[in-house]
Amino acid sequence: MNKVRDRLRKKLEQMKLDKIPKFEKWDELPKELKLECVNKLDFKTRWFLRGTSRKERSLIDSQRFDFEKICLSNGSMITATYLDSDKKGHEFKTCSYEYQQLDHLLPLLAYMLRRCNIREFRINETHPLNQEELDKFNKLVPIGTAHIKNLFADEYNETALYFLRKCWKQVDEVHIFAYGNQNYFKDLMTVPAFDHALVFKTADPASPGVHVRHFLPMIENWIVNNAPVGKKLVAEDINPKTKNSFLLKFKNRVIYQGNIDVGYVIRLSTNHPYKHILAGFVQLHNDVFYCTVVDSETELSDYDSYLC
Amino acid sequence: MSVENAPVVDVDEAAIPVEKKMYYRFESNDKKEFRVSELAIQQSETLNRLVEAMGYTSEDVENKPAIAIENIDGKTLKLVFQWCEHHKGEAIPVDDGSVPKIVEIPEFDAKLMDIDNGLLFKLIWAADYLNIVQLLNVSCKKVANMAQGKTPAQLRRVYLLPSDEEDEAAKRAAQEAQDPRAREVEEEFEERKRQGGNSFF
Repeated sequence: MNKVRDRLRKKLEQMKLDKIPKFEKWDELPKELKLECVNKLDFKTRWFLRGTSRKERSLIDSQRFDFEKICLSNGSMITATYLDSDKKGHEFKTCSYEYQQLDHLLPLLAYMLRRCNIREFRINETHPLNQEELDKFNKLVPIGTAHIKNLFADEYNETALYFLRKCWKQVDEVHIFAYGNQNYFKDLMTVPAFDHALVFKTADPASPGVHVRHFLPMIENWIVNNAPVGKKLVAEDINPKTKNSFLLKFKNRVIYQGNIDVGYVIRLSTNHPYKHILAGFVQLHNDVFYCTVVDSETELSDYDSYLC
Repeated sequence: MSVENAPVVDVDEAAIPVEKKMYYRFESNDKKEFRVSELAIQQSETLNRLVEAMGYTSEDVENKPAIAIENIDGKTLKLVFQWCEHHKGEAIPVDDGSVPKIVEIPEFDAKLMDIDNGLLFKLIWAADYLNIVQLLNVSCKKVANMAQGKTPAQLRRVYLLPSDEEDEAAKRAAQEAQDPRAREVEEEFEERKRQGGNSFF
């Protein structure tokens, strides 16, 4: 009885497959025309097409899919958003069979990081990747290959550092909540993607009153290594009294210091004659330390616009 | 074929500004001739550049031989020019390089592309060759729609995709076809392996 049922089911499946419209000329299309077709597919269909053969995988991998946002949460869930050419948003979620483990999602996540453009990559409530996951992932996504524009981590931990290392050097913004872990700066500064990021934002709402000394090596690096104009650090939850450490460290470079409308400002010279550094201690809803590389022609009246 | 007998594309003359009312003559590779309005030609970057470079007057268009399009047959070219006439004057989309792209197929285009796969394949080639951006978009979208939402097993059916194993077998067969000795060598090698030898020497 079961055999008959199985045969019937297979026959029905076959009939269903036979009814699907076919395009038997696919293989005769040159690669660029295949890509013209593929760029009109949604992500899921692309992913499935990529899984059919090595040839199709190579085709799909040659064209980067643009993600607006990818969020990795609970260590086992991926939420991805992309915009179509009409700027209409599409979202899909997928989660691992095993709680807090990426296991079967690793190939998908690796594909997203290695072969797609990601405007915003968020790491929320993650758990350290286990060794097996790390080994697999390191093969699939080498260091410095993920095309991520902005990386956000709700906590500084090994996972955040791991994904930051995977980023290419054209990261615009890195935003990390420290949660009491202020010693991470030394690690971050060894990551090329971090060094190249234009903006770094950090906050420590769990233990406000962060000493400004943690950021001094970064600013020293800007001074010595000719950081580009526009490079910016925004550190929230700092202790404003620690500005004296900042002044002490850079006392030989101070060009200007004083109060303006938004807060206390210090201007430093750098090793480059056309670049200065503008630092500000501003009180908003919490105490914020701003630091940015500016053109040496910047006027005092423009300071406000840099410190917000 | 004389101009009188040539398949003439329907033209909505009311929609064409008077000063633009010039029709170029094109000939397909199977000697079918078409008259196409100047405004419709603007949909094709290739043809537009060609006619601009030729600098034909109205008299030239009538007196000189039709412009030959060597790579496209009459059946395909008729579809191309029907599409161009229908969409004449419309803005040509600019590709910003983003992926994915959303393309809607208008009703007219859907009817025009209600054709067999062989002709659709030729239409895609022609749209690419003549650089008609939106026609390439809609024709490729039609091919993409066949795959949209399908499972990997269904996709294999839709595009008749060979599996890796089938692909490799086909490659081997092609290699062997080029070099028949390769098969003999392989058979000889297999035979020696069966007999316990591990080297040809």
